[in-house]
Amino acid sequence: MRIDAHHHFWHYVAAEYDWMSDAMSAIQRDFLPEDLQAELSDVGIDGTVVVQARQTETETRWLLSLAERYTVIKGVVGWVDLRAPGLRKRLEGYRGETKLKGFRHVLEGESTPGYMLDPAFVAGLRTLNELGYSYDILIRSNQLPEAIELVQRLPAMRLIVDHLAKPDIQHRAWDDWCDGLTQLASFANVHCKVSGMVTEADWSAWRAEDFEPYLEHVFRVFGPQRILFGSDWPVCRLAGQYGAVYRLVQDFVRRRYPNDEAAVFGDNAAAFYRL
Amino acid sequence: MQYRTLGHTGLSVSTLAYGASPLGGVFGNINEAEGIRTVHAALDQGINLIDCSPYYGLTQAETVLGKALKSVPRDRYLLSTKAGRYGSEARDFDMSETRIRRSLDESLERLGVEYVDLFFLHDIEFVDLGIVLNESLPCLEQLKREGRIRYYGVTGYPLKPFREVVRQFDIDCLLTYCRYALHDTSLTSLLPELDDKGVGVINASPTAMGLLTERGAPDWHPCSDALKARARKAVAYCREQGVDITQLAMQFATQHSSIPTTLVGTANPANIDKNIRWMEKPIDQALVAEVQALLDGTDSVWSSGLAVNND
Repeated sequence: MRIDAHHHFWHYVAAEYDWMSDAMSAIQRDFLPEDLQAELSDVGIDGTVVVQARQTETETRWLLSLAERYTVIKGVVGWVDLRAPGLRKRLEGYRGETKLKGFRHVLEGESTPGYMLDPAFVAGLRTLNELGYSYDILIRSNQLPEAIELVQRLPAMRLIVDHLAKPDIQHRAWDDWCDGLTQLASFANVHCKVSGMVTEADWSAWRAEDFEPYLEHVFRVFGPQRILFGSDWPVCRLAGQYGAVYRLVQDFVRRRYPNDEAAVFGDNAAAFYRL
Repeated sequence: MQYRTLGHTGLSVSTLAYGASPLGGVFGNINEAEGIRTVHAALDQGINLIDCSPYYGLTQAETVLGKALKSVPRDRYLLSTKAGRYGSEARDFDMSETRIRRSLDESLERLGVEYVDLFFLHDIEFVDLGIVLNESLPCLEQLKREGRIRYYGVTGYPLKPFREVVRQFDIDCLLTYCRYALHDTSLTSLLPELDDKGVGVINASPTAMGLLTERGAPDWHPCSDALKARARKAVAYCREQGVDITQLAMQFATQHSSIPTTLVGTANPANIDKNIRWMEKPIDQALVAEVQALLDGTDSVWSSGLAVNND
């Protein structure tokens, strides 16, 4: 099965998506399963993992209801307040939701230093792990040192870094990202999503070569068995269409890791998210 | 480390190759133990091609390299050496069949190996091309048939002799230097033909023998004073942009898809890591264009060898 391990759906309401700046008008509208289906058919993807974009359990419930209706959705990464007391009880409310695979918090939006190392947050992650859920680490590259400390505290948990930890590709940022990712990859339980790259590059003028050093490095340190393709649709539409984003990664994998296409575009996602 | 195919030899070579000339002290005296550690560091980092010559340090580089390779299984690296050049004067060149055969024996002895993967005629522009075409290259062809060497080719600076050799012989590989770097990219005029014929290209001296470095060109550098002056400007400009020009020079040289491997010479293990790291970083194409403009001039190519062999 070919899997897109990272995308979103939303009913657009300005107040609930305040992270969308004026420059993001291209995605300030509804994006629903019907919109995605054609894109998936074009490239031959037959399953997806939909990821939270708002920090509410209402959204998680909504995504689960979509997953029930649309079989193409194989997994949901939801949101829950990991620091709230009674987390375990809250999570028990999802018992029976077999498509709920993991959780994510928009850590990149947390400006308080040390947020992710807060004992309550770490305890929340441990609870997720005990209940068999994975966790998606959404950070910017300047948060890598904190994330490295975090993963040290979660040795056995299924963890995945979203969007290669968002290096500033447009300005060719390198050293800190390169070293940070190398360290993260040294933990065998940490995986990485090759997703969200085009929106870190120059939205209107990126070229495939711009991503080459970043892809090389991610594949070098994580290896093709711990890397999952994700489109980050519809956010990717700010900088490129679904097909372009897909081919960017596919071209690289076919050229550099020709034996691992099935792994990167499906098998790794199925194993990581237990689809 | 990335690997690319070296022409029709089919050999998979690392994008960075190790140039062993510094082991001969060509660019300053070296500490032998440090030199040996550098060879091991290069192999540890995935570099799988090592290039040497009896000319480097007048056989010293081969001797030191031989010591370094003693503890390394032969199938872990591809080894290249040369014949025909043994010094700087006209009389130090000998590309006769007798000398080439003896040279190979001596090199294998110093290197402590049974065979070399690549064997080159060293700096063919210094000798009468008639000898190269009628005696030296047939000799290399014969050595290949005898299984003494796996593949053969020529090295040099001017492009003219290369064109003639490629027209007349199915050489396996070609080692060029200073013709595809920030200051001069004239090698590109030859690349389509080399691609067509499956000749594997090895490019050396991405910094143009020190020209494109903070330290600058050594006294013996053959280029014009005008180019040296332009290079100093380019070095200063990169410094103002917060970039070491050597990094840019390395990145630029290693990016061409028709040039599978680039030689980097050093006798310092830390430089191996540094060069690999530089090569892996994203390249600033805008800065490349600016630096190329600063270096641009009609005198970016110098003469080397016999006048008749120059471009």
